[in-house]
Amino acid sequence: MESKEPDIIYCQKSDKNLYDALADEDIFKGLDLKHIFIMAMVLGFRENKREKIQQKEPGGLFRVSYLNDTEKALIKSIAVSTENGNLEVLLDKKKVYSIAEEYANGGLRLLKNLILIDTEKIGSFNKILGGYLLEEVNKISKNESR
Amino acid sequence: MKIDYIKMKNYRQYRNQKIDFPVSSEKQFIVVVGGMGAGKTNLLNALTWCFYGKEPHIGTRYQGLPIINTSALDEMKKGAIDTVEVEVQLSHEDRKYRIKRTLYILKSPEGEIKVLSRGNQKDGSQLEIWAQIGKNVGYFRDPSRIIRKLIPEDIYQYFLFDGERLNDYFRAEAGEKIKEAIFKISQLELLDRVINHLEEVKRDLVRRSKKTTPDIQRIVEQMEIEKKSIEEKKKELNQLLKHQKEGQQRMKEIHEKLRTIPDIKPLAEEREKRGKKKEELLNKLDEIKESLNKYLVEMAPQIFGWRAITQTWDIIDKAKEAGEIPPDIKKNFLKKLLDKGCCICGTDISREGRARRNVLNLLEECNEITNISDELIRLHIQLSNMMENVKKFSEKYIGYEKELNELKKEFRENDEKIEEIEGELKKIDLENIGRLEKEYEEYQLEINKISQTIGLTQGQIDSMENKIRQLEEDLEKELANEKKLKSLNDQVTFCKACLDIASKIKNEIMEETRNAVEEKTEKQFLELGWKTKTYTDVKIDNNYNISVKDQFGLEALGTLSAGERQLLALSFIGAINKVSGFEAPIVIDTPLGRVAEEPTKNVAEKLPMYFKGKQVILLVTDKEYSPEVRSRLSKAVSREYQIKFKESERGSIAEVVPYGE
Repeated sequence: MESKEPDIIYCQKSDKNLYDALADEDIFKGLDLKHIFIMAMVLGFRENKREKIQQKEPGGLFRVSYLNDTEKALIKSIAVSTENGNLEVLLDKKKVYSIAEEYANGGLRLLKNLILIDTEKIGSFNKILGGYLLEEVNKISKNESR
Repeated sequence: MKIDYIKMKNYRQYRNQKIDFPVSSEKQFIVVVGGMGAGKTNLLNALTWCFYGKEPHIGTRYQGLPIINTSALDEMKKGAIDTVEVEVQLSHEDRKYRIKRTLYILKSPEGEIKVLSRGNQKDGSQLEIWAQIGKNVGYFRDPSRIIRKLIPEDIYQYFLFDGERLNDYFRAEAGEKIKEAIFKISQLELLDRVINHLEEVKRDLVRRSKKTTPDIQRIVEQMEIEKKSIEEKKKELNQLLKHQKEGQQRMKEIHEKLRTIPDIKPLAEEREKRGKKKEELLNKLDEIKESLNKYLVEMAPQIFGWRAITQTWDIIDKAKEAGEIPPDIKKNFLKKLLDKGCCICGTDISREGRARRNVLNLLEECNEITNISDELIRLHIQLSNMMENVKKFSEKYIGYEKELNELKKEFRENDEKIEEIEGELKKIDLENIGRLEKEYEEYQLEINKISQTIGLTQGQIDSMENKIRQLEEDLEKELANEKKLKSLNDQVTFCKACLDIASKIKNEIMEETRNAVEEKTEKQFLELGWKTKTYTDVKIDNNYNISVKDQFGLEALGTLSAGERQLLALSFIGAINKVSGFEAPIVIDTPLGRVAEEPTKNVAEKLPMYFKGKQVILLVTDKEYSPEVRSRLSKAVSREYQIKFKESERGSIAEVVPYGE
């Protein structure tokens, strides 16, 4: 079923404050809520934590128009991957963004833990993030070379 | 003083005549007897002419005639020069004075007489005086001065006089004449000159003192004001100098303190530089961190979403490879054709038919994704880019890390250096240095201000001191003026005192002389006279009027006969001669001319007593020198002469020969 791209990205009403709190963290300094959303979404996807939003934040999190092409492409690829490679999911834009919202909803806790908890134990989040990413990329490289 | 002789050449009627006048203490009289016009009076004139160049007794007979002897003149050739000479020798004390007056006469070719101004005197005559002192003979260059000293011209009339004119003393203005006589005989002229001179000096001094008006008080007051101002200014200056000195001392102390402290400037500069660098490094670090953050935030979704990205990319890629993408025809396009009922080739497909079925078959075969094929193509590209990004992540991230590490290292080194500098600076009491430097600068400013004020104050003081110096100069001048004025006033006072004294002396002398003359005159008149019982007093009052009182105390001057007046005059002359103290000889022309015959005997007898100690030359007429008179005088007469007078057409000549020849 074809649907148009939604105007607004929503989050769980109860998570709005968490978004705001995370926005104050160093890693997101100078960035927008969309960056936290994307980060939470990929973490949720990675860890397969997809949770439906029970009660949407009435005002929404941000406008879809704020997303750039790369971010939109990532959202679409996650939707395709989630629908087992069915490209047709991309016809249903509402679903695409809904999947993204659900992963973000599930991944937000992970992000919170990673930033607010692990940081205290290990050090700055960007360092940790950098390390993770490097590790991930190395893994990718190894897999690619196989 | 005595006249030794008189020598005349070509003087009036005397062609060549020398008359000796030898006298002794007992025989002090010389008698020259001559008739009327014989030459007695010209003998008197010869003396005054010799002494003063004047002939006051010249008779009417000789008035207008040349002084040169007429016979001599007659004998003179035209164009010839001859002389008139009178020489008198005087004995005074142990000296002999020879006085000679010569007049040069020219007889012009026309026969006119001309006096040549060849001499040293105003009238052209030559006056010469020689003096013999012991064996030495001296010549006086200023003969007039010697004359004034020996026989002053002013008083000659009391020694060389015409007896007939004595009576004039008791005529009108007698008082004035007597006063003049007493004045002159008293030698008060000198005193009068002194008085006149003192008056002139006094007038000059008073005039000068009026010009000298010292203004000392004003200058002193002004000086006091200036001095007070200077004192105040000097106090101010001292205070300023004290402050300046204290400030300079304090600056020196501060300087010494600061000198002992290590030079913090390079350290501070280094510290500042390092501080700035730290800031720059921090900014750079922040920038890189921010950039890295952004990069991580940007890359994290792509890396974490790697599976989705690659999976989707693969699916799209396969679809592309299968030729599904891009599709030959889009499903929605077919739907539109069907909806329109017209194929793009123009075939009607609105109704059931082969054409329509073909289209429907195509629609059946056509996938839904054909509608988003463009999107998928774009997505494929975007996913490709993302995959490329992920592949480049390690390199880029390591690059970031490296850059960060280098910056951090640089930052640490910089921090260490800062720490090191701060360590050194901590050793220095920076606060104290700052305080000292501030204090130093404040003192410097203060001292600059003080120096300017000192300059101004000193300038004011200099100006005031200059003013005081000027005032001191003025004061000095004024004091000198005052001194001068005082001196002038003293001089005026002295002059006044001198004048008073001189006037007093003059009056006293005049009074004394008057009294003495009065006394002598009275004594001689009464003794000479023959009416001793008739006249009792001769008085010269304060106004120098002479009066003769009779036995009744009444004024008898008016009743005196001519003879009695002559006797009174002789008494007066005798008196003033005695009183004057002058040693001049007496030459009396016609002494008894106005005296009656009887009294002449008396006079003759008394005359030697009148002029006791004096040489008296009597120029008498035959009538005067009667046998009675001669016999009564004989004891006192040293020598008798008589004048023989010859008158011819060629001129007149008088000759003096011993009496009786």
